[in-house]
Amino acid sequence: MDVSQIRHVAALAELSLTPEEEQRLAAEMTRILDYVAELDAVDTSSVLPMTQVTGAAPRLREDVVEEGLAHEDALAAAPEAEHGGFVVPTFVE
Amino acid sequence: MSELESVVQIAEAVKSGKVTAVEIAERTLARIDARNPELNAFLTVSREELLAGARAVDDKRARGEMLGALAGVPIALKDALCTRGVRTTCASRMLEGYVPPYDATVVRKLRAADAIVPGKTNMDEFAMGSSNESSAFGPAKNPHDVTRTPGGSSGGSAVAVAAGLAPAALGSDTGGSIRQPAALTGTVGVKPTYGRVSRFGLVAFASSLDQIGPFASDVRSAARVLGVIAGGDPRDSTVVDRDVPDYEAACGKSIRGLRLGVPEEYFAKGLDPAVEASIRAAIARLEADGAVVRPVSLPHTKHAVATYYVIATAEASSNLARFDGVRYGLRVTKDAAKDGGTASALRAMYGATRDAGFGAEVKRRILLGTFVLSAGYYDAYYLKAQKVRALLRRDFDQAFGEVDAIVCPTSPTAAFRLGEKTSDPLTMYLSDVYTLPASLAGLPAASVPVEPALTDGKPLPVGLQIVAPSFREDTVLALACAVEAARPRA
Repeated sequence: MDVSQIRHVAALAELSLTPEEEQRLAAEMTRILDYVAELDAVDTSSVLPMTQVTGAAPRLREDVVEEGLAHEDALAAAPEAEHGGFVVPTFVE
Repeated sequence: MSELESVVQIAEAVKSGKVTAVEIAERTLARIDARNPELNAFLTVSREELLAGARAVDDKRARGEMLGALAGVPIALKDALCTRGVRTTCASRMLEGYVPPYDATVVRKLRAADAIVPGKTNMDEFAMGSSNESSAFGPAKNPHDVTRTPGGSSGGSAVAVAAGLAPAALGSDTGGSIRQPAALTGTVGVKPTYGRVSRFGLVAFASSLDQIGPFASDVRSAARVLGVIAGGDPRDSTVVDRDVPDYEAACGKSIRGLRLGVPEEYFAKGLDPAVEASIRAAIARLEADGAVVRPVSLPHTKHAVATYYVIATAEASSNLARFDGVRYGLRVTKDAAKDGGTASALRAMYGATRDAGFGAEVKRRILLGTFVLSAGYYDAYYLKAQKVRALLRRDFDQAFGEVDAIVCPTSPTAAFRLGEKTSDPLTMYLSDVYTLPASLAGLPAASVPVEPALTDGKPLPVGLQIVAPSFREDTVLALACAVEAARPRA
Protein backbone atom coordinates (compact mmCIF):
# COMPACT_ATOMS: atom_id res chain seq x y z
CA MET A 1 0.00 0.00 0.00
CA ASP A 2 1.48 3.34 -1.00
CA VAL A 3 0.89 6.84 0.31
CA SER A 4 -1.62 7.70 -2.40
CA GLN A 5 -3.76 4.69 -1.45
CA ILE A 6 -3.52 5.67 2.21
CA ARG A 7 -4.75 9.16 1.27
CA HIS A 8 -7.66 7.71 -0.67
CA VAL A 9 -8.73 5.40 2.18
CA ALA A 10 -8.21 8.16 4.77
CA ALA A 11 -10.53 10.41 2.75
CA LEU A 12 -13.17 7.67 2.69
CA ALA A 13 -12.81 7.36 6.47
CA GLU A 14 -12.86 11.17 7.01
CA LEU A 15 -9.43 11.14 8.66
CA SER A 16 -6.95 13.97 8.11
CA LEU A 17 -3.49 12.48 8.51
CA THR A 18 -0.15 14.22 8.81
CA PRO A 19 2.52 13.36 6.21
CA GLU A 20 4.41 11.40 8.89
CA GLU A 21 1.29 9.40 9.72
CA GLU A 22 0.74 8.66 6.02
CA GLN A 23 4.29 7.32 5.65
CA ARG A 24 4.12 5.16 8.76
CA LEU A 25 0.65 3.81 8.03
CA ALA A 26 1.59 2.91 4.45
CA ALA A 27 4.39 0.68 5.77
CA GLU A 28 2.29 -0.82 8.55
CA MET A 29 -0.71 -1.51 6.33
CA THR A 30 1.48 -3.19 3.75
CA ARG A 31 2.82 -5.56 6.37
CA ILE A 32 -0.63 -6.33 7.79
CA LEU A 33 -2.14 -6.90 4.33
CA ASP A 34 0.76 -9.18 3.40
CA TYR A 35 -0.07 -11.23 6.47
CA VAL A 36 -3.82 -11.24 5.76
CA ALA A 37 -3.11 -12.47 2.22
CA GLU A 38 -2.52 -15.94 3.70
CA LEU A 39 -6.32 -16.33 3.58
CA ASP A 40 -6.01 -16.72 -0.22
CA ALA A 41 -4.63 -20.21 0.39
CA VAL A 42 -7.83 -21.41 2.10
CA ASP A 43 -10.23 -23.25 -0.20
CA THR A 44 -13.61 -21.57 0.31
CA SER A 45 -15.15 -22.52 -3.04
CA SER A 46 -18.05 -24.39 -1.42
CA VAL A 47 -18.49 -22.18 1.67
CA LEU A 48 -21.15 -19.55 2.27
CA PRO A 49 -20.00 -16.37 4.05
CA MET A 50 -20.94 -16.22 7.72
CA THR A 51 -22.71 -12.95 8.46
CA GLN A 52 -23.86 -13.82 11.98
CA VAL A 53 -23.25 -16.68 14.37
CA THR A 54 -26.45 -17.41 16.27
CA GLY A 55 -28.55 -18.54 13.33
CA ALA A 56 -31.49 -16.85 15.04
CA ALA A 57 -33.52 -14.20 13.29
CA PRO A 58 -33.15 -10.81 14.96
CA ARG A 59 -35.93 -10.22 17.44
CA LEU A 60 -38.02 -7.14 16.95
CA ARG A 61 -39.87 -5.56 19.82
CA GLU A 62 -43.52 -4.64 19.64
CA ASP A 63 -44.16 -1.33 17.93
CA VAL A 64 -45.35 0.45 21.05
CA VAL A 65 -44.70 4.12 21.72
CA GLU A 66 -42.51 4.55 24.80
CA GLU A 67 -40.83 7.41 26.56
CA GLY A 68 -37.61 8.12 24.63
CA LEU A 69 -34.52 10.15 25.39
CA ALA A 70 -35.51 13.68 26.46
CA HIS A 71 -34.64 16.35 23.90
CA GLU A 72 -32.33 18.24 26.26
CA ASP A 73 -30.57 14.99 27.29
CA ALA A 74 -29.90 14.17 23.64
CA LEU A 75 -28.32 17.59 23.12
CA ALA A 76 -26.47 17.75 26.43
CA ALA A 77 -23.23 16.21 25.15
CA ALA A 78 -23.12 18.10 21.85
CA PRO A 79 -20.02 20.25 21.26
CA GLU A 80 -22.39 22.99 20.05
CA ALA A 81 -26.17 23.18 20.23
CA GLU A 82 -28.59 26.00 19.52
CA HIS A 83 -32.35 26.38 19.05
CA GLY A 84 -32.87 22.73 19.96
CA GLY A 85 -30.50 21.35 17.33
CA PHE A 86 -26.89 20.35 16.72
CA VAL A 87 -24.74 23.11 15.25
CA VAL A 88 -22.18 22.32 12.54
CA PRO A 89 -19.94 24.55 10.43
CA THR A 90 -21.87 26.22 7.61
CA PHE A 91 -21.88 23.96 4.57
CA VAL A 92 -24.33 25.66 2.23
CA GLU A 93 -23.99 29.23 1.00
CA MET B 1 -13.58 -8.16 57.10
CA SER B 2 -11.01 -10.65 55.83
CA GLU B 3 -13.66 -13.24 54.94
CA LEU B 4 -15.46 -10.61 52.85
CA GLU B 5 -13.50 -10.73 49.62
CA SER B 6 -15.72 -12.50 47.09
CA VAL B 7 -18.98 -11.43 45.48
CA VAL B 8 -20.82 -14.29 47.15
CA GLN B 9 -19.36 -13.56 50.61
CA ILE B 10 -20.14 -9.84 50.44
CA ALA B 11 -23.69 -10.32 49.14
CA GLU B 12 -24.54 -12.86 51.82
CA ALA B 13 -23.01 -10.73 54.59
CA VAL B 14 -24.89 -7.60 53.48
CA LYS B 15 -28.15 -9.53 53.21
CA SER B 16 -27.74 -10.98 56.69
CA GLY B 17 -26.71 -7.63 58.17
CA LYS B 18 -23.19 -8.73 59.21
CA VAL B 19 -21.85 -5.73 57.34
CA THR B 20 -23.45 -2.69 55.74
CA ALA B 21 -23.14 -1.77 52.09
CA VAL B 22 -21.75 1.60 53.19
CA GLU B 23 -18.92 -0.15 55.11
CA ILE B 24 -18.13 -2.17 51.99
CA ALA B 25 -18.21 1.00 49.86
CA GLU B 26 -15.88 2.87 52.23
CA ARG B 27 -13.44 -0.02 52.29
CA THR B 28 -13.52 -0.12 48.50
CA LEU B 29 -12.73 3.60 48.23
CA ALA B 30 -9.86 3.28 50.72
CA ARG B 31 -8.34 0.48 48.66
CA ILE B 32 -8.75 2.38 45.41
CA ASP B 33 -7.17 5.49 46.95
CA ALA B 34 -4.22 3.41 48.18
CA ARG B 35 -3.49 1.41 45.02
CA ASN B 36 -4.96 3.17 42.01
CA PRO B 37 -2.28 5.86 41.61
CA GLU B 38 0.21 3.08 40.93
CA LEU B 39 -2.03 0.62 39.06
CA ASN B 40 -4.13 3.05 36.96
CA ALA B 41 -7.00 0.55 36.94
CA PHE B 42 -9.75 3.16 37.30
CA LEU B 43 -10.11 6.12 34.95
CA THR B 44 -13.02 7.50 36.97
CA VAL B 45 -13.85 6.77 40.61
CA SER B 46 -17.54 7.54 41.17
CA ARG B 47 -17.26 8.19 44.89
CA GLU B 48 -20.61 9.91 45.47
CA GLU B 49 -22.57 7.47 43.30
CA LEU B 50 -20.97 4.52 45.10
CA LEU B 51 -21.86 5.83 48.56
CA ALA B 52 -25.36 6.86 47.48
CA GLY B 53 -25.91 3.40 45.99
CA ALA B 54 -24.67 1.76 49.18
CA ARG B 55 -26.94 3.90 51.34
CA ALA B 56 -29.90 2.96 49.14
CA VAL B 57 -29.11 -0.75 49.66
CA ASP B 58 -28.83 -0.31 53.43
CA ASP B 59 -32.09 1.66 53.51
CA LYS B 60 -33.81 -1.07 51.54
CA ARG B 61 -32.69 -3.64 54.09
CA ALA B 62 -33.76 -1.39 56.97
CA ARG B 63 -37.24 -1.25 55.43
CA GLY B 64 -37.31 -5.04 55.52
CA GLU B 65 -37.26 -5.45 51.73
CA MET B 66 -35.61 -8.44 50.07
CA LEU B 67 -32.15 -7.65 48.72
CA GLY B 68 -30.90 -8.78 45.31
CA ALA B 69 -28.25 -11.36 44.41
CA LEU B 70 -25.49 -8.72 44.39
CA ALA B 71 -26.52 -6.84 47.55
CA GLY B 72 -23.85 -4.25 48.33
CA VAL B 73 -21.31 -5.81 45.97
CA PRO B 74 -18.99 -3.27 44.31
CA ILE B 75 -18.71 -4.04 40.60
CA ALA B 76 -16.31 -2.01 38.49
CA LEU B 77 -17.30 -1.25 34.91
CA LYS B 78 -15.13 -1.12 31.82
CA ASP B 79 -15.21 2.44 30.56
CA ALA B 80 -16.95 1.32 27.35
CA LEU B 81 -20.21 0.79 29.25
CA CYS B 82 -22.48 3.81 29.36
CA THR B 83 -23.33 5.09 32.83
CA ARG B 84 -25.90 7.82 33.27
CA GLY B 85 -24.25 10.90 34.75
CA VAL B 86 -20.76 9.33 35.00
CA ARG B 87 -18.29 10.03 32.21
CA THR B 88 -17.64 7.22 29.76
CA THR B 89 -14.43 7.72 27.80
CA CYS B 90 -13.57 4.42 26.10
CA ALA B 91 -10.03 5.51 27.12
CA SER B 92 -10.10 7.90 24.15
CA ARG B 93 -9.49 11.63 23.76
CA MET B 94 -12.55 11.50 21.51
CA LEU B 95 -14.87 10.84 24.48
CA GLU B 96 -12.77 12.38 27.26
CA GLY B 97 -15.63 14.52 28.57
CA TYR B 98 -18.58 12.43 27.44
CA VAL B 99 -21.34 11.94 30.04
CA PRO B 100 -23.99 9.50 28.76
CA PRO B 101 -27.67 10.29 29.24
CA TYR B 102 -28.56 6.64 29.98
CA ASP B 103 -27.30 3.41 31.59
CA ALA B 104 -26.31 0.34 29.58
CA THR B 105 -28.73 -2.55 30.06
CA VAL B 106 -26.13 -4.55 32.02
CA VAL B 107 -25.65 -1.60 34.36
CA ARG B 108 -29.41 -1.38 34.92
CA LYS B 109 -29.49 -5.10 35.68
CA LEU B 110 -26.60 -4.83 38.16
CA ARG B 111 -28.31 -1.96 39.97
CA ALA B 112 -31.61 -3.89 40.02
CA ALA B 113 -29.72 -6.71 41.79
CA ASP B 114 -28.48 -4.14 44.38
CA ALA B 115 -24.88 -4.02 43.17
CA ILE B 116 -22.96 -0.75 43.68
CA VAL B 117 -20.56 0.81 41.17
CA PRO B 118 -17.17 2.17 42.33
CA GLY B 119 -16.13 3.50 38.93
CA LYS B 120 -15.02 3.04 35.37
CA THR B 121 -11.96 1.03 34.44
CA ASN B 122 -9.07 1.58 32.08
CA MET B 123 -8.94 -0.20 28.72
CA ASP B 124 -7.33 -0.08 25.34
CA GLU B 125 -8.78 2.82 23.35
CA PHE B 126 -12.19 1.76 22.01
CA ALA B 127 -11.23 -1.80 23.16
CA MET B 128 -8.62 -2.04 20.40
CA GLY B 129 -5.54 -3.67 21.84
CA SER B 130 -4.19 -6.56 23.88
CA SER B 131 -2.02 -4.77 26.45
CA ASN B 132 -3.92 -1.67 27.63
CA GLU B 133 -1.17 0.43 26.08
CA SER B 134 -3.47 2.06 23.52
CA SER B 135 -5.36 3.80 26.35
CA ALA B 136 -5.15 7.56 25.90
CA PHE B 137 -4.68 7.81 29.67
CA GLY B 138 -1.72 5.45 30.11
CA PRO B 139 -1.89 1.69 30.65
CA ALA B 140 -3.19 -0.12 33.71
CA LYS B 141 -0.37 -2.04 35.42
CA ASN B 142 -0.31 -5.72 36.30
CA PRO B 143 -0.38 -6.03 40.10
CA HIS B 144 1.82 -9.16 39.91
CA ASP B 145 4.59 -7.03 38.35
CA VAL B 146 3.92 -3.38 37.59
CA THR B 147 6.44 -3.35 34.75
CA ARG B 148 4.18 -5.77 32.89
CA THR B 149 0.89 -5.49 31.04
CA PRO B 150 -2.35 -6.73 32.59
CA GLY B 151 -3.45 -7.61 29.05
CA GLY B 152 -6.28 -6.01 27.18
CA SER B 153 -8.47 -4.64 26.19
CA SER B 154 -10.36 -4.93 29.52
CA GLY B 155 -7.10 -4.53 31.47
CA GLY B 156 -8.38 -2.12 34.11
CA SER B 157 -11.28 -4.42 35.03
CA ALA B 158 -8.86 -7.34 35.40
CA VAL B 159 -6.48 -5.28 37.55
CA ALA B 160 -9.32 -4.01 39.77
CA VAL B 161 -10.25 -7.60 40.60
CA ALA B 162 -6.68 -8.98 40.78
CA ALA B 163 -5.60 -6.24 43.20
CA GLY B 164 -8.71 -6.62 45.37
CA LEU B 165 -10.02 -3.13 44.55
CA ALA B 166 -13.36 -4.67 43.57
CA PRO B 167 -14.55 -8.29 43.95
CA ALA B 168 -15.93 -8.28 40.39
CA ALA B 169 -15.93 -6.20 37.26
CA LEU B 170 -17.51 -6.19 33.83
CA GLY B 171 -15.47 -6.22 30.66
CA SER B 172 -16.22 -6.70 27.00
CA ASP B 173 -14.67 -9.34 24.78
CA THR B 174 -14.45 -8.94 21.01
CA GLY B 175 -11.43 -11.15 20.30
CA GLY B 176 -10.26 -12.10 23.79
CA SER B 177 -10.54 -8.85 25.72
CA ILE B 178 -11.94 -10.54 28.84
CA ARG B 179 -10.15 -13.90 28.71
CA GLN B 180 -6.62 -12.70 27.93
CA PRO B 181 -6.43 -10.08 30.73
CA ALA B 182 -8.02 -12.60 33.11
CA ALA B 183 -5.22 -15.05 32.26
CA LEU B 184 -2.48 -12.45 32.63
CA THR B 185 -3.74 -11.22 36.02
CA GLY B 186 -4.77 -14.53 37.60
CA THR B 187 -8.52 -13.78 37.65
CA VAL B 188 -11.58 -15.62 36.35
CA GLY B 189 -13.02 -14.13 33.14
CA VAL B 190 -16.07 -15.30 31.23
CA LYS B 191 -17.05 -14.43 27.66
CA PRO B 192 -20.64 -15.59 27.20
CA THR B 193 -22.15 -16.98 24.01
CA TYR B 194 -22.82 -14.31 21.38
CA GLY B 195 -26.46 -13.37 22.05
CA ARG B 196 -26.46 -14.25 25.76
CA VAL B 197 -25.98 -10.71 27.15
CA SER B 198 -27.43 -7.41 25.89
CA ARG B 199 -24.91 -4.95 24.44
CA PHE B 200 -27.27 -1.97 24.61
CA GLY B 201 -25.15 0.85 26.01
CA LEU B 202 -21.80 -0.80 25.20
CA VAL B 203 -19.85 1.50 22.88
CA ALA B 204 -19.70 -0.72 19.81
CA PHE B 205 -16.40 -1.99 18.38
CA ALA B 206 -17.25 -5.02 16.18
CA SER B 207 -20.93 -5.80 16.44
CA SER B 208 -20.85 -9.41 15.21
CA LEU B 209 -18.31 -10.25 17.93
CA ASP B 210 -18.75 -7.98 20.99
CA GLN B 211 -20.00 -9.63 24.20
CA ILE B 212 -20.06 -8.35 27.78
CA GLY B 213 -18.94 -10.63 30.60
CA PRO B 214 -17.71 -10.74 34.19
CA PHE B 215 -14.33 -10.85 35.92
CA ALA B 216 -14.21 -12.18 39.46
CA SER B 217 -11.70 -13.64 41.88
CA ASP B 218 -13.54 -16.98 41.97
CA VAL B 219 -15.75 -18.97 39.60
CA ARG B 220 -18.92 -19.00 41.68
CA SER B 221 -18.83 -15.20 41.93
CA ALA B 222 -18.39 -14.88 38.17
CA ALA B 223 -21.34 -17.25 37.71
CA ARG B 224 -23.53 -15.12 39.96
CA VAL B 225 -22.73 -11.92 38.06
CA LEU B 226 -23.31 -13.65 34.73
CA GLY B 227 -26.70 -14.85 35.92
CA VAL B 228 -27.67 -11.25 36.69
CA ILE B 229 -26.55 -9.68 33.38
CA ALA B 230 -27.69 -12.48 31.00
CA GLY B 231 -31.02 -12.64 29.25
CA GLY B 232 -33.49 -10.75 27.14
CA ASP B 233 -33.51 -7.08 26.27
CA PRO B 234 -35.90 -5.48 23.79
CA ARG B 235 -33.15 -2.92 23.07
CA ASP B 236 -30.69 -5.44 21.60
CA SER B 237 -32.21 -7.50 18.80
CA THR B 238 -29.26 -9.94 18.81
CA VAL B 239 -30.03 -11.27 22.30
CA VAL B 240 -31.34 -14.80 21.92
CA ASP B 241 -34.62 -15.41 23.71
CA ARG B 242 -33.95 -18.31 26.05
CA ASP B 243 -34.10 -18.86 29.76
CA VAL B 244 -31.13 -18.03 31.95
CA PRO B 245 -30.22 -21.16 33.90
CA ASP B 246 -28.89 -21.12 37.47
CA TYR B 247 -25.21 -20.69 36.62
CA GLU B 248 -24.12 -20.92 40.24
CA ALA B 249 -25.66 -24.40 40.41
CA ALA B 250 -23.20 -25.49 37.71
CA CYS B 251 -20.31 -24.81 40.11
CA GLY B 252 -19.38 -27.88 42.05
CA LYS B 253 -21.18 -30.24 39.69
CA SER B 254 -19.27 -33.44 38.99
CA ILE B 255 -17.21 -33.44 35.82
CA ARG B 256 -16.91 -37.26 35.83
CA GLY B 257 -17.37 -38.57 32.32
CA LEU B 258 -17.22 -35.14 30.65
CA ARG B 259 -15.32 -35.47 27.38
CA LEU B 260 -12.60 -32.84 26.96
CA GLY B 261 -10.88 -32.10 23.67
CA VAL B 262 -7.31 -30.85 23.61
CA PRO B 263 -6.71 -29.13 20.26
CA GLU B 264 -3.24 -29.90 18.94
CA GLU B 265 -3.15 -26.58 17.05
CA TYR B 266 -3.08 -24.68 20.37
CA PHE B 267 0.12 -26.36 21.49
CA ALA B 268 2.19 -25.42 18.46
CA LYS B 269 5.12 -23.07 17.91
CA GLY B 270 4.92 -19.87 19.94
CA LEU B 271 3.55 -21.41 23.14
CA ASP B 272 5.85 -20.67 26.07
CA PRO B 273 7.11 -24.00 27.54
CA ALA B 274 6.43 -22.92 31.15
CA VAL B 275 2.86 -21.94 30.22
CA GLU B 276 2.41 -25.25 28.42
CA ALA B 277 3.57 -27.17 31.50
CA SER B 278 1.00 -25.40 33.72
CA ILE B 279 -1.79 -26.01 31.20
CA ARG B 280 -0.94 -29.70 30.76
CA ALA B 281 -0.77 -30.22 34.53
CA ALA B 282 -4.21 -28.65 34.95
CA ILE B 283 -5.66 -30.87 32.23
CA ALA B 284 -4.11 -33.92 33.91
CA ARG B 285 -5.86 -32.97 37.17
CA LEU B 286 -9.20 -32.76 35.33
CA GLU B 287 -8.51 -36.24 33.98
CA ALA B 288 -7.76 -37.45 37.51
CA ASP B 289 -11.15 -36.00 38.54
CA GLY B 290 -12.84 -38.28 36.03
CA ALA B 291 -12.96 -36.22 32.83
CA VAL B 292 -12.16 -38.09 29.63
CA VAL B 293 -9.40 -36.29 27.75
CA ARG B 294 -8.75 -36.81 24.05
CA PRO B 295 -7.03 -34.93 21.25
CA VAL B 296 -9.15 -32.98 18.74
CA SER B 297 -8.23 -30.96 15.68
CA LEU B 298 -9.33 -27.41 14.82
CA PRO B 299 -7.50 -27.19 11.50
CA HIS B 300 -8.38 -23.59 10.58
CA THR B 301 -7.01 -22.12 13.84
CA LYS B 302 -3.97 -20.67 12.07
CA HIS B 303 -6.25 -18.46 9.95
CA ALA B 304 -8.07 -16.89 12.91
CA VAL B 305 -5.80 -13.85 13.27
CA ALA B 306 -6.10 -12.81 9.62
CA THR B 307 -9.84 -13.51 9.58
CA TYR B 308 -10.40 -11.52 12.74
CA TYR B 309 -8.38 -8.49 11.69
CA VAL B 310 -10.41 -8.19 8.48
CA ILE B 311 -13.86 -8.67 10.03
CA ALA B 312 -13.32 -6.74 13.27
CA THR B 313 -11.70 -3.75 11.55
CA ALA B 314 -14.40 -3.64 8.87
CA GLU B 315 -17.10 -3.47 11.51
CA ALA B 316 -15.09 -0.98 13.57
CA SER B 317 -14.66 1.38 10.61
CA SER B 318 -18.43 1.51 10.31
CA ASN B 319 -19.17 1.75 14.05
CA LEU B 320 -16.62 4.51 14.64
CA ALA B 321 -18.00 6.64 11.81
CA ARG B 322 -20.37 8.10 14.42
CA PHE B 323 -17.52 10.03 16.07
CA ASP B 324 -17.62 13.09 13.86
CA GLY B 325 -17.70 16.00 16.30
CA VAL B 326 -21.42 16.68 15.85
CA ARG B 327 -23.53 14.97 18.52
CA TYR B 328 -21.07 14.18 21.33
CA GLY B 329 -17.40 14.02 22.10
CA LEU B 330 -14.51 16.07 20.80
CA ARG B 331 -14.81 18.71 18.09
CA VAL B 332 -11.79 20.32 16.44
CA THR B 333 -12.30 23.18 14.01
CA LYS B 334 -9.32 24.27 11.96
CA ASP B 335 -8.86 27.69 10.41
CA ALA B 336 -9.58 26.12 7.04
CA ALA B 337 -13.00 25.23 8.38
CA LYS B 338 -13.68 28.62 9.88
CA ASP B 339 -13.17 30.52 6.64
CA GLY B 340 -15.37 27.98 4.87
CA GLY B 341 -19.03 28.41 4.30
CA THR B 342 -18.72 25.52 1.88
CA ALA B 343 -19.06 21.75 2.23
CA SER B 344 -15.29 21.55 2.73
CA ALA B 345 -15.55 23.35 6.09
CA LEU B 346 -17.73 20.57 7.46
CA ARG B 347 -15.48 17.85 6.11
CA ALA B 348 -12.41 19.64 7.47
CA MET B 349 -14.07 19.58 10.90
CA TYR B 350 -14.73 15.84 10.59
CA GLY B 351 -11.16 15.12 9.54
CA ALA B 352 -9.50 17.34 12.14
CA THR B 353 -11.73 15.99 14.92
CA ARG B 354 -11.04 12.38 14.03
CA ASP B 355 -7.32 12.95 13.58
CA ALA B 356 -7.05 14.60 17.00
CA GLY B 357 -9.51 12.32 18.80
CA PHE B 358 -8.31 8.87 17.76
CA GLY B 359 -4.99 7.30 18.75
CA ALA B 360 -2.63 5.42 16.44
CA GLU B 361 -4.11 1.93 16.88
CA VAL B 362 -7.67 3.12 16.32
CA LYS B 363 -6.66 4.98 13.15
CA ARG B 364 -4.82 1.92 11.89
CA ARG B 365 -7.90 -0.24 12.37
CA ILE B 366 -10.30 2.30 10.85
CA LEU B 367 -8.07 2.53 7.78
CA LEU B 368 -7.69 -1.24 7.47
CA GLY B 369 -11.44 -1.73 7.88
CA THR B 370 -12.28 1.01 5.39
CA PHE B 371 -9.83 -0.51 2.90
CA VAL B 372 -11.18 -4.08 3.11
CA LEU B 373 -14.72 -2.77 2.53
CA SER B 374 -13.76 -0.41 -0.29
CA ALA B 375 -14.69 -0.84 -3.95
CA GLY B 376 -12.55 -3.51 -5.60
CA TYR B 377 -11.33 -5.11 -2.35
CA TYR B 378 -14.54 -6.23 -0.65
CA ASP B 379 -14.66 -9.71 -2.22
CA ALA B 380 -10.96 -10.39 -1.81
CA TYR B 381 -10.79 -9.45 1.84
CA TYR B 382 -14.12 -9.05 3.64
CA LEU B 383 -16.14 -11.73 1.86
CA LYS B 384 -13.18 -14.11 1.96
CA ALA B 385 -12.79 -13.58 5.72
CA GLN B 386 -16.50 -14.24 6.28
CA LYS B 387 -16.09 -17.56 4.46
CA VAL B 388 -13.07 -18.58 6.52
CA ARG B 389 -15.05 -17.58 9.60
CA ALA B 390 -17.65 -20.18 8.59
CA LEU B 391 -14.86 -22.77 8.40
CA LEU B 392 -13.58 -21.83 11.85
CA ARG B 393 -17.08 -22.35 13.22
CA ARG B 394 -17.34 -25.67 11.38
CA ASP B 395 -14.11 -26.84 13.08
CA PHE B 396 -15.78 -26.34 16.48
CA ASP B 397 -19.08 -27.91 15.38
CA GLN B 398 -17.20 -31.03 14.29
CA ALA B 399 -15.14 -31.18 17.48
CA PHE B 400 -18.28 -30.81 19.61
CA GLY B 401 -19.65 -33.91 17.91
CA GLU B 402 -17.00 -35.81 19.85
CA VAL B 403 -16.35 -33.77 23.01
CA ASP B 404 -18.32 -31.67 25.51
CA ALA B 405 -15.74 -28.91 25.85
CA ILE B 406 -12.33 -27.83 24.63
CA VAL B 407 -9.48 -26.98 27.00
CA CYS B 408 -6.38 -25.08 25.92
CA PRO B 409 -4.16 -22.13 26.89
CA THR B 410 -5.79 -18.68 26.94
CA SER B 411 -2.59 -16.87 25.96
CA PRO B 412 0.67 -18.19 24.51
CA THR B 413 2.73 -16.38 27.16
CA ALA B 414 2.36 -14.97 30.65
CA ALA B 415 2.18 -11.18 31.02
CA PHE B 416 4.70 -9.48 28.75
CA ARG B 417 6.53 -6.28 29.59
CA LEU B 418 4.95 -2.90 28.91
CA GLY B 419 6.52 -1.62 25.70
CA GLU B 420 7.59 -5.07 24.55
CA LYS B 421 5.16 -5.34 21.62
CA THR B 422 4.17 -1.76 20.90
CA SER B 423 6.58 -1.21 18.02
CA ASP B 424 4.98 -3.83 15.77
CA PRO B 425 1.18 -4.05 15.55
CA LEU B 426 1.29 -7.49 13.95
CA THR B 427 3.25 -9.01 16.86
CA MET B 428 0.61 -7.65 19.22
CA TYR B 429 -2.21 -9.11 17.07
CA LEU B 430 -0.57 -12.55 17.13
CA SER B 431 -0.76 -12.63 20.95
CA ASP B 432 -4.55 -13.12 20.55
CA VAL B 433 -4.19 -16.32 18.53
CA TYR B 434 -5.86 -18.60 21.13
CA THR B 435 -8.83 -16.40 22.01
CA LEU B 436 -9.90 -15.29 18.53
CA PRO B 437 -11.37 -18.60 17.26
CA ALA B 438 -14.06 -18.86 19.99
CA SER B 439 -14.96 -15.21 19.37
CA LEU B 440 -15.34 -15.72 15.64
CA ALA B 441 -17.44 -18.84 16.31
CA GLY B 442 -19.58 -16.98 18.88
CA LEU B 443 -18.98 -19.63 21.56
CA PRO B 444 -18.95 -19.31 25.36
CA ALA B 445 -15.46 -19.42 26.85
CA ALA B 446 -13.72 -18.65 30.09
CA SER B 447 -10.21 -18.26 31.42
CA VAL B 448 -9.50 -19.68 34.86
CA PRO B 449 -6.19 -19.44 36.74
CA VAL B 450 -3.93 -22.49 36.91
CA GLU B 451 -0.44 -22.80 38.39
CA PRO B 452 1.77 -19.77 37.74
CA ALA B 453 4.62 -20.15 35.28
CA LEU B 454 8.14 -18.98 35.97
CA THR B 455 8.87 -16.12 33.59
CA ASP B 456 12.27 -14.41 33.88
CA GLY B 457 12.59 -16.14 37.24
CA LYS B 458 9.27 -14.78 38.50
CA PRO B 459 6.01 -16.72 38.98
CA LEU B 460 3.32 -15.09 36.79
CA PRO B 461 -0.34 -16.10 36.35
CA VAL B 462 -1.44 -18.53 33.64
CA GLY B 463 -5.01 -19.08 32.47
CA LEU B 464 -6.63 -22.24 31.13
CA GLN B 465 -9.24 -21.51 28.49
CA ILE B 466 -12.43 -23.58 28.41
CA VAL B 467 -14.69 -23.41 25.32
CA ALA B 468 -18.10 -25.10 25.08
CA PRO B 469 -20.95 -25.29 22.54
CA SER B 470 -23.33 -22.32 22.23
CA PHE B 471 -25.25 -21.52 25.43
CA ARG B 472 -23.36 -24.16 27.44
CA GLU B 473 -21.97 -21.63 29.93
CA ASP B 474 -22.97 -24.22 32.54
CA THR B 475 -20.39 -26.68 31.15
CA VAL B 476 -17.74 -23.94 31.06
CA LEU B 477 -18.45 -23.00 34.68
CA ALA B 478 -18.57 -26.59 35.98
CA LEU B 479 -15.13 -27.21 34.47
CA ALA B 480 -13.79 -23.87 35.68
CA CYS B 481 -14.90 -24.76 39.21
CA ALA B 482 -13.16 -28.12 38.98
CA VAL B 483 -9.95 -26.43 37.79
CA GLU B 484 -10.18 -23.93 40.64
CA ALA B 485 -10.78 -26.65 43.26
CA ALA B 486 -7.90 -28.80 42.04
CA ARG B 487 -5.33 -26.00 41.69
CA PRO B 488 -2.40 -26.51 44.04
CA ARG B 489 -2.25 -23.66 46.56
CA ALA B 490 1.00 -21.92 47.23
